[in-house]
Amino acid sequence: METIAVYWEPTIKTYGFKEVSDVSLVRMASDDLAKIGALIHDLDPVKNEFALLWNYNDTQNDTQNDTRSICLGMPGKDRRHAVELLKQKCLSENIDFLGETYPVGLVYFHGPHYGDRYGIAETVFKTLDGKVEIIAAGFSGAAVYLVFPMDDVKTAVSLLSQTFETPDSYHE
Amino acid sequence: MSRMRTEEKLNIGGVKFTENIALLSITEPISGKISKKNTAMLFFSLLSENEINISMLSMIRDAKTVRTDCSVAEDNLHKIYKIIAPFPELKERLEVLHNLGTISIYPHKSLMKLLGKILFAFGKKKIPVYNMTSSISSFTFLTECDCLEKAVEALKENFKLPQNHAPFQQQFCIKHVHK
Repeated sequence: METIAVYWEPTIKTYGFKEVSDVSLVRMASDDLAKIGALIHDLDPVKNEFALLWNYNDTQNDTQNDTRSICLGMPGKDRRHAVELLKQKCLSENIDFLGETYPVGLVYFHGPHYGDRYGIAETVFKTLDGKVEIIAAGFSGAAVYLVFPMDDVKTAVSLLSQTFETPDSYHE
Repeated sequence: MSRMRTEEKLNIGGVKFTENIALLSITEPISGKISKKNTAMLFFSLLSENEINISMLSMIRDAKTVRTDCSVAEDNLHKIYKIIAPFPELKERLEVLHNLGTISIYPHKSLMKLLGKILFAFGKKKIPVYNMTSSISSFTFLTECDCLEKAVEALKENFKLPQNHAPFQQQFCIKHVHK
């Protein structure tokens, strides 16, 4: 593998923080991933979008054979309808609906080389250390997703803005 | 019956995979907010101090526990075992899975339909999925290295890829240059 070396900026840059309010975090589990896939697929006519996806490790269920648990963040105006439909379908398809956390706020951002450099996770968690309640976090590619109780979103963005370099336009 | 069976193939822009990944998982009890008292935070600091990149991370908490899953390049494992050695609590909680690979699919356009169909395709082919996350434009799934080709085949059966598309691997890595 070829190695390309780059200079590391002392303050980590981002392209700005985005916030999404009133998100539902839903968790479901089944030993049949295809069944979960079909259920999610068939929610689509509601025109609901997902905001994020996680593997959800249910500490009570995951020790049981091949149970797959996943967590979805669902925003948008059709969210309530989509969650209710998902609950009904879980029941009829014999998929465990593990619960919904609502409302939560989502903060996401990305920056140069996030997927290839070290230290992003440490910087994020050190910045938020004990100051806000982090419900979930997901880092993939160049993106960082964080889920907070609604009341903690503004504080979290303010703290992160002090640590990460953001474009000037973000502060205007 | 799911409408998926009668539906036309959906378009995706591309598929990328990375081999030789290890999954490092920590499950720990928690009361209160996630802070530096947590084992996962210590682990992030150790990785950062030793210039080890986490290529994929998911963390989620419930009332009593927090679960953290980190993917790193497998050739870092020896170094990781060495740096966690002085921390018995971390060593004890760390579970490691070897010989994994990631498959990323883009763009997802935030479509439930697309996500559902990918999970369906992987589930039908019995492709093990150890972790999954989404970014702004792509989904990334962690599976066994030996299953990457099979995962691509499963995608080809259910999605339309651009003509002449070949799954590709990143041919470079980024290294920190100290100034």
